[in-house]
Amino acid sequence: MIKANQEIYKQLLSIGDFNASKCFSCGSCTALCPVGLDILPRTLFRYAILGAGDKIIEESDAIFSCLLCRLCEEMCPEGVNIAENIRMLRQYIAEREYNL
Amino acid sequence: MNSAMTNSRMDGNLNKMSSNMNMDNNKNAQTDRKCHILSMLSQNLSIRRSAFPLSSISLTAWARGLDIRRGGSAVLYTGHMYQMIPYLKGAQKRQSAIKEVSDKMMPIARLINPFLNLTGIMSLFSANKNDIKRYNGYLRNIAVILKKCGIEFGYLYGLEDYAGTLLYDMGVYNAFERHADRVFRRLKRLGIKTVITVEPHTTEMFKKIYPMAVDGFDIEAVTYLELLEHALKSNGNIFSHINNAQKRQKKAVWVHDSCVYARHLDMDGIIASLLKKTGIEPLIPYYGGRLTHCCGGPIEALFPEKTSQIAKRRIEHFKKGENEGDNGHIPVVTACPICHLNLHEAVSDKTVVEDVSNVFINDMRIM
Repeated sequence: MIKANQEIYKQLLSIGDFNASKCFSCGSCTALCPVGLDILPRTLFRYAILGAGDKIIEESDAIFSCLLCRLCEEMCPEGVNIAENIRMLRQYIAEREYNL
Repeated sequence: MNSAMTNSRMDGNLNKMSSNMNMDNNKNAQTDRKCHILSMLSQNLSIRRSAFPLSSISLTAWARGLDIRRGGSAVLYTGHMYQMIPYLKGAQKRQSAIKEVSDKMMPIARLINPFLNLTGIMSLFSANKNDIKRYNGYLRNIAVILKKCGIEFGYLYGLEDYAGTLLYDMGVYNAFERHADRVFRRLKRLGIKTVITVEPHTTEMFKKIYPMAVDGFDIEAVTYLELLEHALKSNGNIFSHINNAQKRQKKAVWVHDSCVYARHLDMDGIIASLLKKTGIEPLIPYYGGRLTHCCGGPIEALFPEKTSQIAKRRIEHFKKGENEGDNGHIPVVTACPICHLNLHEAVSDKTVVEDVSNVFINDMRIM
């Protein structure tokens, strides 16, 4: 079961230009990913939009494994700032979970 | 039969539960590990003004004997990156040798670190002398190239700060923001108007991130590569010592563009273009230029094993492009010390990984 909390999405939007809602789940971003993450960015973005805080924390390894190299963004047909969105998820975890 | 099935199902459930608990424990351990590492990096930045604090002697040794003036309105800004590499490499080797112990000690280390520079202790005597000489040499090359271009610049020596890249990338924004503000205030106090950067990460900080993060940030950032390009446009004879015989041989090198230069700063192609102007043939690998492949470096602090796998995969891209007989004789050049470290460590044959400044110095004979 996913616990949804809209405040989380609002917090992410307040960090910066968190544009995960532009993602239409095509999966093109994963074609070139050098890390080969276990979880797709689109799934992480759905968690964020839903405000599924527990799921975001659960996937923190994947979130911190992203290289922020932006190769994925070269493939994105919607111009999602994938790497910057991931960095903002890190910021959310660092502040809320790690108290940093 | 039924009882046996029930028992077996119960065993299965118990095994599943136990495996889930193990997975949870592993996940918790990973989470704690990340938290401890990020905490210590944040402490280092707040207390010691660097994620990986080193002594002033180690940071400024490269400039010895180069007669670079102290300060001035334009300064060469190393951002400590080239200087850190030999120590990072040494500290990581030590840490991986005692991984289990060091993971267990993390919570204590995090408590002690504010009072005792543990990163400094971890890196003490860890750097290989040849590595120090190599990476300091790259900085010396860059200073010489700038001088050759007729550019006047100073250096802040012990007053230069680390820019805070790692903390920004890892999302530790509060510590980063405070640090960036301090760096800016110091630069202003010292009268700095332009910083000449030498690698992509510090360049991105000053060109893109500081202007967003720091109120009133108005310091110009320019890379030495851009200055070299500009100088070549206005004076094509800068490299007048090019050896013609060498030019005829048409030496070729693989170009590994850094992700940050290529996609964050839209500077893909600058290395290839500079190499062309100096008579060297730039070879663009599978995944090159704008679509360059990461070296794995950005996650090295948290997931060194993944970094190593990614770097090895990157080296394969150069191998794929080799002709029969090349056999690792074509050097790979990069303009990023982190890429250099990871690719250099990933090579398993004779392939040489060089900083592009070394190619300029050696092959263009500008000294």
